[in-house]
Order: sequence, then C-alpha cells, then structure tokens
Amino acid sequence: MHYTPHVDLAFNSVEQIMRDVEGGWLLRYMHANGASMFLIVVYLHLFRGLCHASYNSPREFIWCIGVVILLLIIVTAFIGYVPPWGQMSFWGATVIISLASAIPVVGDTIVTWLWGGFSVDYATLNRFFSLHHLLPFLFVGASLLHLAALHQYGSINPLGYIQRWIKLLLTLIFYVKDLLGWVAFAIFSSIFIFYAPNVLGHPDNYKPANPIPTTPHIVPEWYFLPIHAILPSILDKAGGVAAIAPIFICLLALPFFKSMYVRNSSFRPIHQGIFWLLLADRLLLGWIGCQPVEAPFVTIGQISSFVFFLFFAITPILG
Amino acid sequence: MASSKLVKVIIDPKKNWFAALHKKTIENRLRKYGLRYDDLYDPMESLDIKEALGRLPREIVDARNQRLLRAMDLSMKHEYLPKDLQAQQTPFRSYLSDMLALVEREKAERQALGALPLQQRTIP
Repeated sequence: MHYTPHVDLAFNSVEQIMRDVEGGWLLRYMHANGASMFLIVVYLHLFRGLCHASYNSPREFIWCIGVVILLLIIVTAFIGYVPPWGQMSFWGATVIISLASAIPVVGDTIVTWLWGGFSVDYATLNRFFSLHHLLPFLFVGASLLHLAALHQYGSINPLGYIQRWIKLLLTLIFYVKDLLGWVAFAIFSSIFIFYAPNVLGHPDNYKPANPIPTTPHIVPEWYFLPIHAILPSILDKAGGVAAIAPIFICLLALPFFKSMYVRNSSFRPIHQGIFWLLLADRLLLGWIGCQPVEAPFVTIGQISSFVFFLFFAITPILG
Repeated sequence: MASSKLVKVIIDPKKNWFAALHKKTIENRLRKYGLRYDDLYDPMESLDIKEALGRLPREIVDARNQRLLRAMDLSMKHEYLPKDLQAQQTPFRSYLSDMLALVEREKAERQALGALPLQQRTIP
C-alpha cells in the first residue's frame, strides 16, 4: 500500500500516489469526490424521508437505524479528512475535537484521549487512519440491519400508503428505473472526478500540515457546513457545542411525535410548505457555514438555526 | 374551554378562510388521484385503523382498495385522472371516520377499565 500514516510521510505519500502510482490520481479523486457524492445521495435520501414522513409508524426502527448510519458516515468522513495531512486536515481536527473541551469536568480529558496526546500529532493520524478503515464495516452492518428492517413492512411510496397486496417487481421495474438514475449519477460524478476534482475540496489542504501558522479560515467539507453553521449561532462555546446534539436527537425523536393518520406531505400542504422551508434553510445554513464568524453572517446563522429547530417543534403540532 | 373553541374556529373551514383554502387544496389533490380522504388512513400505521376497516362492509373496503389501486397506478405513471372523472369524485365523503372514532372510544374505555388492548404491535 502506498499511503503511509506518519506525520512526516503522509502528505508526500499522497502526492506520490497522485503522481507516480499507476491510476493513483484516479483512485484518489474517486475516493475524495466519492465521499461528496455519497453524502449527496445520503442527504437526498434523508430529505425524501422527511418529505414523505417515512419515519412514521410502523417504520420507526428503520428511521432510527438510518440516523445511526448518518452518524457513522459523519464520523467516518470527518476522520477520513485527517490522513491527507494537509493544513485543513490538521486544523480541522484540532478545532473540531477541541470542541469537546466544552464538556464540563471531563472535557479536556476527553480531548486529550481523542487526540492521543496534547495536540493533533502522530497518534491522532494513526488512529484516525485505522478507524477510517474500520468504521465502514460497522456502517455495512448497520445498512444490512436497515434493509432487514425495511423488509419487515416494505417501502413507502409518494402517496404515503401501503398495501401488501400491491407489489411491483424489484428486478424488472425498479432495476430499470434505478439504472437510469445510476447512469445519470455516474455521469454527474464523472464530471467532478475528471473535470473538476478539487472544486468540492479546499486549496489549503494542498499545503502540508504545519502546527505553527494557523489557517486563517478553517472550514469543514461542504457536507458538514450546515452543522458547522449552528456552532457559532450560540455565542457561548459550550452552548454551541450543546446545540449539535439536538440535531440528531430531533431526528431520532421524529417517529415518536404524535402524528396524524395521514402521513404524506402530498396531502398535507402546510407540512409540505414547511418541508421546503426546511430545505431552503439547510442550504442557507450551508452557505453561512463557510462564511467568517462576523456580522451579518452570525445573525443570519442564528435565525436559520432557529428556523431549523422550529421545523421539529412544529411537526408534532401539525401532526 | 376557550382554547378548544379557538382551535375549532381556526380549523373550521366555514369560519376561517385559511382553513377553507387548505381544505380546497387537499380536495383538488385528492380529486386528481380519485381518492377520498379516508383512503389515506393506513392500517399498517395504526391498529385502530385496521380494526375499523375490519368492521366495515366488504363492498366499502373493496371500493376503497380499488380507488387505492387506481391512485397508485396513476402515481406510478405520473398521471392524473381524466377531468370528467375528477369532476365526479367525492373526496370528503367519509366512510371510515365514524367507525374509527368508535374504535378509539372503545380503546379508551378499555384502557380506563384497566383491561389489555385488543391488539398490540410487535416491536420493531
């Protein structure tokens, strides 16, 4: 294997893969852009579930497993950004893991434990590389559980209604229908891989990690920006960190809110309008996440964060 | 209670223009697929709905299933019902709501008396 998880060799080993290894550039770009494509699909899947209220009874377990999978993906993607050992890898790991110091009493101990030392260093790189390799296997197991849970009650449909005696063949109908989607998405991915492989990344990650000069604008990858935007919305550091957990708690709790018998937003116009508002809000939060923490971005971020959590507060009322 | 009266005013289409608009929007969407509002109740979602459907006459349940089959076929093909058929639809003609309300009252009474429910969902 060509990658070397050592602080003195990691960055150069990635460059060696890109330049000297046969097909190395393709593998590297497929992996980096593949992460973005994977998260595009995951977010589409998640928002489809929110739109059609797929989380409603009796599919609570599928939804909860899905949120666990989302968490695994987020952790895997975050720790996978560290091995290239660029400036953004180093400082992103430093900033995000040091957020755990906001936890009272044990915060600093947890940060030291995660880093494997008093700063992001060799121990961090080595363990993150290992975990980045291990966690996808957990994710595969969770996905199999997700599919098994799905097969208990079956898929939902845009009308929001299930009848066990109406079945469409997976092999004939959905295979062909999905093949069109796969081909279209493969073309979309290929445009990024072959024509714009670095557009979704950050140019600072092409500088070797250096603990002395802090990168002026530390931002995570685009798929973390909406969550990253909620952090500075609360001016207190501990409050900002504490605001991240409710995102996933709200997602996990969604199936257990009291709901109307009518599930689908096709026949719930108010819920449908609020869903599109949520989507627009997420996009706005994503934009705010890559802006500097100053006026007016902080104010816009605060309003957007409030609207985001308002969706989960309103859903039980609307049913 | 004043709050429940207020809620009734808010959600009553005859008293509130927004509620009337909301009802009209749902009515148009139901007409396009040839569905009634009670057709949207999913027996897999709630055992009460399953029990209520089980108590209805067979021809009513058969008509419901036929409407659902037709609607799912239209949805799959991304089509709507022809205009002349849409004009004949009765989206808010209820056939299930009264029976469902009865089942829920019985369930509440059973619960109040400390008896076990008739059916329980398996988890997950």
